[in-house]
Amino acid sequence: MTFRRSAATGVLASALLAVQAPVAIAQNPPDGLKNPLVEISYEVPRTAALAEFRTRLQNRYVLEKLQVFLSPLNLTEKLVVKADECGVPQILYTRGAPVVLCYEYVAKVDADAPRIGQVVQLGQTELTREEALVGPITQLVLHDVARAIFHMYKLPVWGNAEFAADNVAAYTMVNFSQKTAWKTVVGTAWFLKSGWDKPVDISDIRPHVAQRYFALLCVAYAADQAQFEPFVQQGARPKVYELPARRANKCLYDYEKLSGAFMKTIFEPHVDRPKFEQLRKLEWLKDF
Amino acid sequence: MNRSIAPAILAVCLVCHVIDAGSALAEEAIPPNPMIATEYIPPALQVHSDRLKARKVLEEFTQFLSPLKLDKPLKLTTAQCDEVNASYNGDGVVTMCLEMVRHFHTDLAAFVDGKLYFDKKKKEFTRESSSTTVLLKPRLPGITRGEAAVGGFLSVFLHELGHAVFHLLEVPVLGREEHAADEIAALIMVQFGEDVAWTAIKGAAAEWDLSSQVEEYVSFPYYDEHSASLQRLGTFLCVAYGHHPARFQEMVDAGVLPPARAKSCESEYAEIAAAFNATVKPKIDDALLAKVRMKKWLRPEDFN
Repeated sequence: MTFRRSAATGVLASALLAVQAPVAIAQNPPDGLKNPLVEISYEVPRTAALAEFRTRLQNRYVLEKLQVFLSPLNLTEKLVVKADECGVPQILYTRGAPVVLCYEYVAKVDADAPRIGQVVQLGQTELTREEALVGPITQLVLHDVARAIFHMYKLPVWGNAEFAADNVAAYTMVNFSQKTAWKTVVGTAWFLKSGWDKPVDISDIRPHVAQRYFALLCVAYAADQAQFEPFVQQGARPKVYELPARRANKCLYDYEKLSGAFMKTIFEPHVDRPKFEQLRKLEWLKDF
Repeated sequence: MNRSIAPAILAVCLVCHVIDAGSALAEEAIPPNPMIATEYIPPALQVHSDRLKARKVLEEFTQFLSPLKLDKPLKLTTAQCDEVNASYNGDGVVTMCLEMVRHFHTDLAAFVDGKLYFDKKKKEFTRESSSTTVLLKPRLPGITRGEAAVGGFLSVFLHELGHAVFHLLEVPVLGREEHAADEIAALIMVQFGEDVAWTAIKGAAAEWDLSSQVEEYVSFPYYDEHSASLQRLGTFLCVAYGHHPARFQEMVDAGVLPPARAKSCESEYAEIAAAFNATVKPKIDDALLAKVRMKKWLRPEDFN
């Protein structure tokens, strides 16, 4: 069974892709579809300039939606997710610590995004402000929740936990509707295309940002070759933001392995099927 | 024994006669089978093939891997590949290219001796200094040629064996498999006492140190499924430091493993060891493993 074709996929992806889900469901979740072990908070920032980002996240019920969307996950302990001022845009997840969406990160995403009404080019494709905002915030939340559940479920993580969290995030993003996959992948790719000139740092356990960019596109292309074709080498030589054709072909093989690992370690042992079926009936994707 | 010789000679002579009679025709009329390829190992690689055979390296690896309970066959080979490489073919065959073995005994040896240059224009190693070359200086102090060759070989071969283990045991890999193969290689290298770990890891580190210096002049393709050499160097050193901090403190003191990374190595090692225990350990025969642990795997002659 491939994860993309599985009904379970949509729900888990929905569960994690909180940013765009319907507000009504977040305010009044159906019975049992609010994970009681997901504890959320919007901390008040010390820096006044960050207050607007707290308000924006609150007005969109970002974390409340996450509580609903994570409901199929059988958590074994409390998962604390908070929005907070961090002093830096991102803090590396540490075992057992809360998942933190930093206001500085939201501010950076906002600053990097095209202005309202502006459309920018990313390789062969165009990118809107909405995509640039939704993509990286969704990716970050998915990434850090993935790290938290690695710890909570005591999952065997081969191949660098940071990279694995990126893989789980990407895998979840592309197993949505085509529209949502596009929005989240392209938006995240836009965010990751900066910082490429920094050299590899042996002190940093995280993959280089350019490696993250191509790894994301690799998962996306393997999941939907037609949709993400514009990010694959078009001419005789690949352009800087394109996946070389040879690499793109191998992505299909890598994706199958990732799919198998995801199903074996996360989906099959830890997702509540009845809740999942219940969530399916909500037709989350239709509301997008 | 003598009684059997005469008929045999007679038979051979008859065959010879028949072949001689038609040899001119046979040469013209019998084409080679296009589906069969032949190849002689070039003399420059033959010496390395002979060295591995004499040392019974592959046979020894089969002993080393004896605790692994495999349901599917695994073949270990050496071969001429026409590139400096090693591979797992995704179907039970691990191949160490003789060009890679030669590289350990030539370029890597010259590197640890402080005598290897890189030609920035031609993008190749050289022993000669010129206006387009740069001397590649080892970051790691005091590595011998033998240590580099042994450690380099082990890191590469164990890396490919890692791919084989993931495949044959159906181990779920959520992260990057190429990185995971380095993790399992490093993990194995540090399980046989501090001295073996020290030798093997130093050699592995020399290889990735060399490659990382080349990547300063040949831009690294970030789309590649492999990690950059500096990242691979960090993985081997961090696993080693995470398990044997006192023994590998020298790497931190020498500045090869930055303190900022070193402080997370204990947890990095623990994470990898936990993954091994959860996914590979159940497929290991403990009694055989105990025997494997008792054996002395690296011998003094390995470092000549």
